[in-house]
Amino acid sequence: MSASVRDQRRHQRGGDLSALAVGLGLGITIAIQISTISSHDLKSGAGLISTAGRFAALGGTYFALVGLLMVARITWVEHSVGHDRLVTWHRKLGPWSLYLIGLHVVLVVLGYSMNDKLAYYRELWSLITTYPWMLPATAGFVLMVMAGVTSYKKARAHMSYETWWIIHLYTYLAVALSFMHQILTGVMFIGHPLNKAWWIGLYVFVGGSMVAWRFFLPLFRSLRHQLVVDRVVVEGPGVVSIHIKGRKLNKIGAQGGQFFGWRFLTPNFWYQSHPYSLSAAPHDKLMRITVKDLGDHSRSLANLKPGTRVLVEGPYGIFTVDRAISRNVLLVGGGVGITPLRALLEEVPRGSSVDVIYRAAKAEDLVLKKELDYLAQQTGARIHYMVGPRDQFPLTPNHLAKIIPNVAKCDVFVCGPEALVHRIRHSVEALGVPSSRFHDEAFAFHSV
Amino acid sequence: MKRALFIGSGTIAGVAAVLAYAPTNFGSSPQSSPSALPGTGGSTTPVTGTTSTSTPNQTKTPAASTASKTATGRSYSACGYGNVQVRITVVNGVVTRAAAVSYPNGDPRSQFINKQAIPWLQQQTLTAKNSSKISGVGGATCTSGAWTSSLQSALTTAGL
Amino acid sequence: MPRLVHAEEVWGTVVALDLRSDSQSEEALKSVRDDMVSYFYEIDRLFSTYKPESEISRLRIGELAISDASPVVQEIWQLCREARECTEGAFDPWAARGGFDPSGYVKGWAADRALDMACKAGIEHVQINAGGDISLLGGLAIGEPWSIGIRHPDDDQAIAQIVTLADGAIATSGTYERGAHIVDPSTDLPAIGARSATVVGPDGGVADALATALIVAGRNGAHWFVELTDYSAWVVDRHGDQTWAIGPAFS
Repeated sequence: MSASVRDQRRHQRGGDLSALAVGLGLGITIAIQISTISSHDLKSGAGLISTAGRFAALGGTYFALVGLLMVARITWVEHSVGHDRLVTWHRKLGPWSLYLIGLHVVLVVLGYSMNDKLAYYRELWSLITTYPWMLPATAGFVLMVMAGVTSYKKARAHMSYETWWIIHLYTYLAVALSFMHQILTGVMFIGHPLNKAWWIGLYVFVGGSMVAWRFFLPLFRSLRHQLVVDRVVVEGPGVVSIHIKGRKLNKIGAQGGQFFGWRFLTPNFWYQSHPYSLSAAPHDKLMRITVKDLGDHSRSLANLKPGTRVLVEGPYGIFTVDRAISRNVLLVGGGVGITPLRALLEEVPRGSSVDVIYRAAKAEDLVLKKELDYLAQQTGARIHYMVGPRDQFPLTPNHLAKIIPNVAKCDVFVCGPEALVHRIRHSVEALGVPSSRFHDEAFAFHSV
Repeated sequence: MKRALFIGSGTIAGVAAVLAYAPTNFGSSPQSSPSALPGTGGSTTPVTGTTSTSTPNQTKTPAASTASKTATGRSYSACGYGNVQVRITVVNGVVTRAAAVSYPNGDPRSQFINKQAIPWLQQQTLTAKNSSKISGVGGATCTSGAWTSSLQSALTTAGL
Repeated sequence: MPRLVHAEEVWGTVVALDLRSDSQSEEALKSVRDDMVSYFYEIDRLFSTYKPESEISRLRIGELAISDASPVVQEIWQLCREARECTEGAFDPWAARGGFDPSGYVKGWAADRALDMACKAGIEHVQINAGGDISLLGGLAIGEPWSIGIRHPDDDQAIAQIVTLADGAIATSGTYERGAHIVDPSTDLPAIGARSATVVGPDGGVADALATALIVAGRNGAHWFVELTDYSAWVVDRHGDQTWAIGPAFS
């Protein structure tokens, strides 16, 4: 079982192609403004300011559209670029989109107010109220600002995930509301049918992708595989497992270590999709996730009724055993991070040497302990439970080498809190484990 | 950061592709008239009438000119269905560009007005200008809503 | 360079011609002038609202249906329809008192047609000034465009704006005379949008209609010129001394 070099190359190419396409689109978008600049745009300060405002508008909107594409869950993009990296980029691009669009509003109004010799607020009022579709565009801008402000780390910490998520969803509406004023008042579009076609095509492509990959595909899959909740099992205090049954689940092609975006169609939570890793290797009729009570949604899962329809997006993640190069495997899990490792453990090929480190603060936090022990017995894997405060288990290179003598030859799979992942990465690096043998899954990047 | 290279080169390629097809016109004011070379079938204006874009008589002007100049010729108007006016650009006596500047009846492009466009106005105070070198005077000597029978000084100022 | 200047009292105003040619003889100029003048009278016969026997007069009182009118009148009817749409109703010959009155289109349009005649006859430089609405061809001379002054709305001896062009039409509407003669179709009252409006563009009829419409619409008509990029406007506000302009001829 070695990492498929051909697969990796294919993924690399896919990622390169995506980057090229994004660049091409950006170039075309910038160029349609360059090609429609006329002499009087460059002759006055007011003209230059307005022109700059138009560039900002095009850039900001393009970034917003690309940002949406990044979370459209396009299968081949997810598999080549990787889900977590897409989410990272989406988070990075978002603020820039907002800054540029804000700049557009400021500059264009400034330019027109200078040219019309009107006070700024008067010009702003005139532009918004005189021309149709400006009011919706203004509303869209306000929504975008709200989504941006609430995503600011400090603000987000003060609100529930659900509240933040709903406000964030309004970004879709913001983008849709602004469209008409772009097409109708944009000087790069008036009288330039090709430019208009490009812009409309871009929107259609992004909108269509979202509808296809985030709506139709999961729906089709759910209907085809008849995914429903089979039963809910309490694993321990605050921890439940959800068993999802279906048919021909092998066709979905999930592997242990991967996760899906789960949407349970209950009246209260049908509009939310949450990422959870499989906690057991999937087979043809059953998939299982194990969830810890961390908030509204996760708490509600305990009350799921059997027969509830389930929609899935995925499988995502490259945290799979087929990425391992060597036959020596070290699995390190912290808290609920053990869940994908538990699934992975089932798929490690016979004859491999497996060590598992399970870090938890208290004994009650050890999830699925019985199953792990059973699997260890069956496969010969060695489980090292490390229960207690952090300083008791420093996980330094020396510490690791002592517990796992062949650690330098292992493929290391880590899943858990960021601090744990960080520490393990540093330690195994120091012990000589190359990055090609280091695999991590950080839950923080599963969702926006 | 190799991906950044891909994005960058993609951007440059995109800009180059668009500007190769639709070049910039920083030096001129916005143009909307499509080019319609005389006699070609590739005209984008729906030209009705028989001989639409005939070469104007203007090309008989003396060849000893080095400046680029524009002249407008008129085409034969067939059966009152309208005509296509062609403006040609002559550089060193050679016709370098021909563009249709007025459209026959019913051309949707000349009728479509974008009601949402925000106009960019040049504003000034009303003053009197130096009129020593003018070759004609325009003005509303009679309002265009009614015929009047008054005689005015257009006689002396127009063309003299 | 032979030159011919002629003034003819027709259309309720004075139409002045200025023909110059590098290649044609004086006789040719005279011949063209004669053709143009008889054309003017032909248009007058068809379109004068002061002649009860003209087709327009008969249309206005319902004695003639548009489908029975001559092709020229039908063409004007259609062109006025398009101009009305262009100007969102600010130019509306059907709203005139007494019925359909295309005077605000015909003068500029007919001057253009006369210009065509001169051009086909090989005359290289033509200025037709039909009571202030001007159609131009070929510049004053090779490489020297026409320089046309627009009369100041308050002082008819002064020039308020100068337009330089080789070919095209310049139409001006305004309230130079006592009282406003242009009626706002939507209110039936004298138009209040602008005191004077000058439109420059390739088609004289369209320029004429736009200028008339601007008197009614004022700054609300500015956005028509965003897409009509071959046309330019120079407008004096109704009140005060502010002017605004848009388009290539005034930038």
